[in-house]
Amino acid sequence: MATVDDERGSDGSGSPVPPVTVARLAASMPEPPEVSTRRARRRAIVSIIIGMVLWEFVGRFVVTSPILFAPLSKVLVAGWSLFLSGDLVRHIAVSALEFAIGFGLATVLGVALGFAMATNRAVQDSLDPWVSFFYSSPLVALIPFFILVFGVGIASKIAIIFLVSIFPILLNAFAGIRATDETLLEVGAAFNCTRWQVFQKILVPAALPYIVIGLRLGIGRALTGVVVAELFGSSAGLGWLIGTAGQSFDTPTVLFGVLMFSFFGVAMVEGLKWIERAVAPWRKVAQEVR
Amino acid sequence: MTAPKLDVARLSKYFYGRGGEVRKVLEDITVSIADGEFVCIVGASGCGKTTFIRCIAGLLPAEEGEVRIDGHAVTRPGADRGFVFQSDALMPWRTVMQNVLFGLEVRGRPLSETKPIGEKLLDLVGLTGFEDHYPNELSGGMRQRVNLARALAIEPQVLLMDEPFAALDAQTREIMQRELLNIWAKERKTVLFITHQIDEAIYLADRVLVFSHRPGRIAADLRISFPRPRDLALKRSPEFLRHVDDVWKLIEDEVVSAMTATRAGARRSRAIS
Repeated sequence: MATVDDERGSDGSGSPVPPVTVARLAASMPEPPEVSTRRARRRAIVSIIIGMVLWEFVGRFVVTSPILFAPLSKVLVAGWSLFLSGDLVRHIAVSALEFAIGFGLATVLGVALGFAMATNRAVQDSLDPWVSFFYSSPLVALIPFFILVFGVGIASKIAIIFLVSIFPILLNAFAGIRATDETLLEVGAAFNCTRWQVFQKILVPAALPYIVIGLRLGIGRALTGVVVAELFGSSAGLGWLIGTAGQSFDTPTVLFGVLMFSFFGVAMVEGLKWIERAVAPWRKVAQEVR
Repeated sequence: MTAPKLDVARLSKYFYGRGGEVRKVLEDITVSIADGEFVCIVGASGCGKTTFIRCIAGLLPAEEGEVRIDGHAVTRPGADRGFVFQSDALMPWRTVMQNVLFGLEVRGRPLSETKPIGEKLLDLVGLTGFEDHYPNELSGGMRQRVNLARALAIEPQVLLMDEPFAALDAQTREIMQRELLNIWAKERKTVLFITHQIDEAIYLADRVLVFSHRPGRIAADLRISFPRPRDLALKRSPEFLRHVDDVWKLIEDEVVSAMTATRAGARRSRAIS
């Protein structure tokens, strides 16, 4: 009874093949995943280095006006001096705080409201028009209004970051619950699960991949919210830094600020992937197998 | 004769269409199944056999009649019935072990306490060593073994199996049929097994109920008295093939008409199968 089906191992790794055949088939055979991952990484690094060299080259020899563009080296020097003066850390701290509070609130409330809408018809019917209204509106246009109401401090920034990032999170949490496999809900019924058990043991895990997508979209929108809100009216933050540097034609600092935003965006999305792998190991398995 | 384990009395089931039309899917089904009996239901697609097993599971309410297990009427799912789903319906976020123990977990028994039960069941279905694998690392046949182990974990009185091998390839299906009989020989559960494959039904069952369709009714109740344990070679014996032929004659016209109906109104017939 120890036999199991032999459908596994269809990748060909299990069956012995004469070496001559291997050599002949090598060109057409898919390579093991480690090799292709390593190659993908190598290509990405080479591509980044080429991009950096191009940037430096264009900044030095093609667009020579210091207002229109700056070579990478000058951008990094500007960043270094900002760091030495302590300004960089101060501005990052302000922007990070705004982001953390705004995006944190959006995550908690977005997931909660998405779940509530997906599991309660009345909540869905009441919130639906508002969600579609706000989701399709260019909410950054509300920034002047928020500055009037909350002032130029961090409260107006938090409000706008929250507002632009909550809807993708909410809608994806909603869609995730709704997309739960019907037959899994039948399993819940067949095993006599309570409503709470169905929610907690079936709906929430099923929605998790969708929530991660919502968070990823939310991060992008929230970062845009930080920049635009700080550009509009603020006294500190990376967006303010970019704005004031632009007004004094300090192009290296402007570009450095943009670079910082890109860096944080990429870092957060990578962090999210890491969290997903930690809390949802089956997803990693799914990607590796397929 | 002892009291039946599963007793279905005058069960009827209707489906209500969108335009207010009412369709009778099951009509007046009465059947008694003894303790430890292995009963297969065969019928053309759309004959209501899946609806029938769902009514017994308590997943669907029946409008008329009643279902009794050990004399107690049942209307909703309960621990006395284990359901093996057609698609394996495993939770991709749970390991094999966690899937098997799901039914016990939702009854408030923590995984730490039920693990020995899970180990025994995985041994029974031949999946020792796969405890910590996720379903998408397993083949279709292995997933159905987990599906079966999950249903057995709650120690049901009656095992309800809804075309569990339908999605498997022909070879795997044969192996699974033999393994199922081995497991059944050890556990001696009462089994109600739905299939559209006549040879599967005859190979497995003590009794084959042939369903006719529109509305679903029991057209024949055949006793299959091949001695057990049964070998897969049995399927090639003349006597076995004669049985297959008998059942085929009973449903041939309906299979053909079901196919035509499917072509005419694919949506409608899918709703009942």
